[in-house]
Amino acid sequence: MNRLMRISYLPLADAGLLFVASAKGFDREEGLIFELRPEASWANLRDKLALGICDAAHMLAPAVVASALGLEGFHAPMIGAVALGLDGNALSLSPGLSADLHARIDGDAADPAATARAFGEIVAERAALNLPPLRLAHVFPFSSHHYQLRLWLKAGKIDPGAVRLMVTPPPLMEASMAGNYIDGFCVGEPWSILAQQAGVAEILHPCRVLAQNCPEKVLAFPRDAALAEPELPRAAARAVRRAALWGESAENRGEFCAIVAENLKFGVGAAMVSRALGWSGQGASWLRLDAEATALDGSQALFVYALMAAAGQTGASREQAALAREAFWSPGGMAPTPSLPILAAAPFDPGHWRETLAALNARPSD
Amino acid sequence: MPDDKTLRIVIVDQNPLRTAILRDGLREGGPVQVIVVDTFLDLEQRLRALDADIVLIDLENPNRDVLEQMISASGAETRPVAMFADASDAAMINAAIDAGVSAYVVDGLKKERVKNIVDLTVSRFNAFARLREELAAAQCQLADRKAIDQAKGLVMKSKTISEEQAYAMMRKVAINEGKRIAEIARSILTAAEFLR
Repeated sequence: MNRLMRISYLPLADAGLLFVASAKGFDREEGLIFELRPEASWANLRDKLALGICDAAHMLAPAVVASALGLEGFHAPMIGAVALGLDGNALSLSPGLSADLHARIDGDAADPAATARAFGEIVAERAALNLPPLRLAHVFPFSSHHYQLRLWLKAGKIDPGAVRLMVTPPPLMEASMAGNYIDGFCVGEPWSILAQQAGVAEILHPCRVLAQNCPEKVLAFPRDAALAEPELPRAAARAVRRAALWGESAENRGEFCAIVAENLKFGVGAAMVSRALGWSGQGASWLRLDAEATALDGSQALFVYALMAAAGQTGASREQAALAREAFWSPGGMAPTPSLPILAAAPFDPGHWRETLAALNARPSD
Repeated sequence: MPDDKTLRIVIVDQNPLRTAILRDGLREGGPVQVIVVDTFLDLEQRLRALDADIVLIDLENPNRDVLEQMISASGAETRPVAMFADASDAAMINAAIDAGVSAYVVDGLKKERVKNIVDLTVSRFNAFARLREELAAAQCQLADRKAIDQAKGLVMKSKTISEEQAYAMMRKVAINEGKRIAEIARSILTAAEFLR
């Protein structure tokens, strides 16, 4: 008898491996039946997981680490059992702001330091004219989107307090841009491409140029439930990894993209998914859903923790670092070592997380 | 204490019927000022301008994450907003999430008063869900009856039998196949359409 696993998700391209695992029966091969349920917000996913309304959830990697540190919701710790991909976000600006910025770039427009310096000029000019601060949207307080915006600002030596960092739900980015409620945003697929196609935003950078191999979403379980039946998260992790392996074969790619697009709706076509994955021949991938990108371990949680501390959301201590590490389970046995996150051309060294934090301008407290 | 004054309750919901049901309930429960926000965009600025004591938001609204941001960033110029995250509130939170609503409350409100409002919200959300189910069931029944009447007419005509005989035949098939009469009626209608 296969075991039913109720999995809640947000309709985003990086829920794709869950769609593929279910459509191609990898869940059943691991003794599970995925029942996939769309949700409207990260807060809903977190709460429904904590209250047992679902068994597992597509979850922001930083939200899982935050729950382990007791910073989130009802203090119901989650664990990440497998990564649902790496990277995938992009930074976009309004067409007007983008044109202004490009006119000021001194250097390579693909270099985030060059674009951030140009952005810094605009921010300073607006402040001198007493204009309201520019509004940059991300998706949740504990999200890589939030931290990536901060990394970009840092690359231009811009004080985060000089702009307004705010939350706008991904399905509302396009309308918020069109209504002039935000000036730029960082969001995952398919929303960057959809907003650009609608003509309300221009993609400035895929976030891979700010932090490569950034842990993005994980499949999360309540920690207590995972400890009580550890074979369940591990079986789900194997099903996800098998979906990714299946997608790696060139002959399956068309079907892979079609399954993801069909589950996303919103008028997303397979070609759009293919483009984000770098399979279309139009530029490099900015979303990774390959098997290696499903590997997870404590070093990635530590990286997320460093970004979180750099954003001032928590202090920096040895105890918290240890708690963070335990929030990400290694799938055990079959998955490869995770691709290490890369910041400013240097791979993250888990043994020296304090140096990373110091480089991001936060002072460790012990 | 803000408990002694009229509470400002903001309902963030795009369903006008549900909002009306909830607003009436809240007004019956005591002195409150109810403000409805039925647009999706620019929620943070709107809420700051409204200076709410309690925000009630339906779970289908993606803007819940905006409220999460407002909780986490309660700086000097922002009003502290906290969702009751106390372990003793677990049952109340569970009932609310189950009913499809979430509540965000400023610090310092009396717990009983908050609990009364949340309980009332949960009961009105559940009442609305029942109303919707009943409506859907009634519509379904009506459609079933229409299909059965049409199929009965077809059977009567093609077999030149009485209405009672036609109904008895359909009923027998339904029992034998373990299906509802309405399903058999729809199969007859589909087949007839096909063979026309």
